[in-house]
Amino acid sequence: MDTKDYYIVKEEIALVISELNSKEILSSQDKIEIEDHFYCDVEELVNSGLSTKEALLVARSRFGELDGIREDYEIVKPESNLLYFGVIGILIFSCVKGLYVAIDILSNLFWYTFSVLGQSVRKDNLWLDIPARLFLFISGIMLMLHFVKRSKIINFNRFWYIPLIYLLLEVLGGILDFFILQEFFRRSFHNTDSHALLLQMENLNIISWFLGLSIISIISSFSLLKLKRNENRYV
Amino acid sequence: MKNISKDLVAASCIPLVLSILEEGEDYGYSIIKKVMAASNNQLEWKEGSLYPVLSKLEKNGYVNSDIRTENGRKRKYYTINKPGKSKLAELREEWLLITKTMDTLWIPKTTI
Repeated sequence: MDTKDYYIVKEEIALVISELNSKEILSSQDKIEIEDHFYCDVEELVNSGLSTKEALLVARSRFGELDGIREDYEIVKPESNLLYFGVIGILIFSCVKGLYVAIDILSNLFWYTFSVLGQSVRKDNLWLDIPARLFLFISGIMLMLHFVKRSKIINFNRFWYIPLIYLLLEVLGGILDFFILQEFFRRSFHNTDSHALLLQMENLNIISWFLGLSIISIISSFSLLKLKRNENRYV
Repeated sequence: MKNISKDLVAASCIPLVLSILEEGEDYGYSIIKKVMAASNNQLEWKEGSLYPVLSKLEKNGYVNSDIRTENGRKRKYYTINKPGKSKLAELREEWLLITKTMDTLWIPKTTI
């Protein structure tokens, strides 16, 4: 291949790579192997008697449609998409906060049972709650880390259901809090107008929180599930 | 060249690549040529679709790679590793079962 032909090939390869990499998905190693592929193919075709331009056309056609290949790369490398990191962030948040909410629910149920059984909740009893929660929280986190460490490949897509479980726990916790709150306001405020206003404000707060949380959790779960399904594709 | 359905080509891609790498380390273009040669140029592969597959195999920990310079040109070589060999054994079992079933169903019926 003379210098002029070499530059023609180089230009065509650069064009293919830039088109494939329009979403910044290719690593430097990917670019190296695509470049190598084209040089090998063109060299072989030129040696079989084609001109450089003809060889380039054949090599380009053999390589396949760039849109399809780009899509395959996107499936293989979801981390090239910035939104993916957002979803992973939500997943981690759901794990940690979900654990906290679960402990909160257990604790509320414990104190509820405690009071139903006729035991008064004394201040010194409440102090037991903090170390117990801390213990559960730390052991939960350690279990989670152990699980992540054991799986050789950390594949976040597998945990698509976590945001949904977190949402469910929040709803459960919210329902529990809602009834406790009603009781709290009923006892604390003798002025029924202030009571109603505060309750209304609190309810609006809870509703907007759940609405936002539901949207975020469902979208995150759906994105992770979609990625998981794509993983089962052969590419 | 036989025009085999895209789905079938895609499904056979990973076992084909792993089988070639089991013979020894190799690079993208050479893998494509070996697949073509093994099928007597009957398998029509869109060559570019191999690279995301190799990327996936590497990401899933079935192959290792390193970049080397040959004749002033950089080239990415792939080597199958232990999990890759186990995966290949698993895939081989699956494919053998499928071909065995096909053979049983498609064997010419002998007239009595």
